[in-house]
Order: sequence, then structure tokens, then C-alpha cells
Amino acid sequence: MRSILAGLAAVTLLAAPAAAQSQAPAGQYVVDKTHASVVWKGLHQGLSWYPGRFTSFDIQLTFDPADVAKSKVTATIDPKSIETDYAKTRPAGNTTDFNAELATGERFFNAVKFPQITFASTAITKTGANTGKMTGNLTFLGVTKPVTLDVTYIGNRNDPRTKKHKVGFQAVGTINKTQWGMAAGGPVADDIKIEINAEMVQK
Amino acid sequence: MRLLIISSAAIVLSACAFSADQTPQSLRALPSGAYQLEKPHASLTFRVKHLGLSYYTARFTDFDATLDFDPANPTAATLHAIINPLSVRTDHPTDAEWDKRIGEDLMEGTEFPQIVFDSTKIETTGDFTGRVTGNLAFMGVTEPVMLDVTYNGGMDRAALYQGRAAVGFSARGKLNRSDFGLTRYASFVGDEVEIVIEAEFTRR
Repeated sequence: MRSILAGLAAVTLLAAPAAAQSQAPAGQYVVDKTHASVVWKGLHQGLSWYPGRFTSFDIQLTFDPADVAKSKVTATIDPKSIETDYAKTRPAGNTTDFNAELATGERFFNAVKFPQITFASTAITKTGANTGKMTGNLTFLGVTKPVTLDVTYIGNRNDPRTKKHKVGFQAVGTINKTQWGMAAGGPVADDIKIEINAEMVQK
Repeated sequence: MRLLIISSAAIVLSACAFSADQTPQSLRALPSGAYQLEKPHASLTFRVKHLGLSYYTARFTDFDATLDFDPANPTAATLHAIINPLSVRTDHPTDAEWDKRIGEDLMEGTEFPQIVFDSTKIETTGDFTGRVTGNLAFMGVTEPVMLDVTYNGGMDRAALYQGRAAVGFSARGKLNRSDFGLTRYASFVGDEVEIVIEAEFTRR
């Protein structure tokens, strides 16, 4: 009896995550900003992939787990929220505000004139059990161009406290910054890698 | 004479072709010796799986490294790095104490103020790739860690660095935090920690 109970408990435990995996409900989800990051990387001088990030962004997901092609993602990013950690890594005595230079510099995000970066998916296709491709329109510097991100569905879970579902994703891709009119040349190459890690919570 | 002209032309051509994304991935012409990390062009990112839902991404912003490097004999290189655990940054949107909780409470950075890595063995796995094994001292425990390293390129005279020689690497590795006794929050934070390093060094 005891072993049956133990066995049942084990089965229940094992089944729980599997069940959770299949139960992410369709509907509206919004990013959990405490468990999300939007990072970009540019090849600096051909020597290293220089990372920066945006710390202020919003992501909305209309999720249809039965037919992911019907899902939709929109996102907004504040280009002024760029964070490079330069203030913590710059040489002693250097007071350059490199974040501000990237955010508002005309060679870069020119954020006074273009205060928002936006993304709206136009097509989502499944490529594997937990992978897909998401194409959408990315707008910055006033230019809208399509981009395609490789998306991995990491998992889902019902939060026992809030009783709300969460789904988690990773999305990666590469864009050529000059297609949006960002200046070519300089120490950072044109191709910029993007990596987004995000938990989305049911509205 | 002809050879000289051709090689001059080649030098001119390669100098012209030289741009941000075309730094030669070559070890030729680089001086051997002690190289120092260029902190503004170095990053140390780590990722842990959160609730089986996402790869939570954070970084250290205060670290330093020295590299003793002979381009003719890369496996003889040695790498020494020091990381300040209190320099964890996560960009938490609302909780100003969040980074402190990770660096101070979780990594016990006040009691163990330095994370130290010392290479013990360097192998090459390709023309520009290799594996660095070393001892990582973290929270009072020293365990071996392996990093897969790519040599991205080098410049014998980098204008950005006042003409000093520069080399750049990308490295990735994994460790289990439980190996270092960091087992807290195991029910929602994964044991495996992925490490992503980007680093430029210049010759001192």
C-alpha cells in the first residue's frame, strides 16, 4: 500500500509538468519584466561581440497554443533605456555617457527624434516541437523592415499564487543595422545579433 | 624587386580592405607577452533557467583579467581573472535591492569578495578555437571549469588602443552552481549556469 502511494505520488509528480506543458491556455499574455531581457551584440573591431541591452520594453502576446500560426506578438522598446555598463567599465577619469551617446546620437538611435522602437509579428510558423520562426515588422529610426527571429518555446507553468499561466520563450536573430538607416562604418560591424529571453504572463 | 612591389601592393590592399568586420583572424605578427583586459570591451554574462520557463540573463560589471599569450604557442598561454561578485547587474525594473540580493545574499559576496579563475590547461581544437581548463574559486570552493574559446582576431597595432597590439576572444562554458555549494532556490532556479564571455585584451 505504502509503495503504491509512493508510486502514485511519483506518477503525479512526473505527470504534473507534462500536463502543465499541454495546458497553456490561449489568450492574452504580457511580458513579466522581472524575468525578461532584450540584448543586442555587435562585432567590435572584429575582436569581440560587444553587448548592450534595452532595460525598458513591453511585449504583448496573443497566444494560440493549438495553432501557433494564429499567435501574434507586438513589442515596444524605449531606445533611451540602452545600457552598456560603460559607466562601470570606463577608464578612471573618463566621464563619457556612452549610453546617452548611443541612445540619442544621430549616428545611433537618435531617440529624441525617434523615441520608440516597435515590433509587430506578421507570420509565425512552427519548425519543430518547441521551435518556430517569427517574422515581423521592426521599426526604428523611422524605418520599417521585416525581420525573422528564431523562437524557442521553453515551457509553461501555472503560478500557484496568482493562478495565472506563464509561458517562456527565447528569440534570436540578426539584423543589418544599415537597412534601418543607422550609420555604417565605425568600429562596430553592420550585422547586429538580437537575443530576447522572456516570460509572458496571462493577463 | 617585383616581389617587393607585389607584397607592397598586397599590404596596401589588405590595409584598404581592413574594416570593422574584417579584422584578420590570424595569429601572425602579434607580439607575445602579457596582455591586459580592456574593460570597456569585455563582458561576462551568465544565464540560469528560471522555473523551466526562461533563461534568466545577468552579468558582472566589475572584473579584470590578464593573459600571458604567445601567438606561436597558444597552448602555453595562461589566463588569470578576478570577478567582483557584488557587481552583479540584472536591470530589475522595480527592485533596487535585487542585484544586491544576488551578489551579497546569494553569492555571499561580502564574505567571499573575489571569484578567481586560473587556467591550468589550454588545448587547441581548431585553427582559431580552443578549450581552456582552469580552477574557479567561488564561495570558498575551488573546482575545475572548462571554457570553449574562439579567437576572433587580432591587430598588431590597434588605433583604438593607442597602437598597442589587441586580441579578441569569445568564450562559453557551463558549471553546476551546486558544485560550489550554491544550492539555494533550487526549486525554481536551475543548477546549470551558462557563462558567456566576450573579451578584448591589449598588450601592456
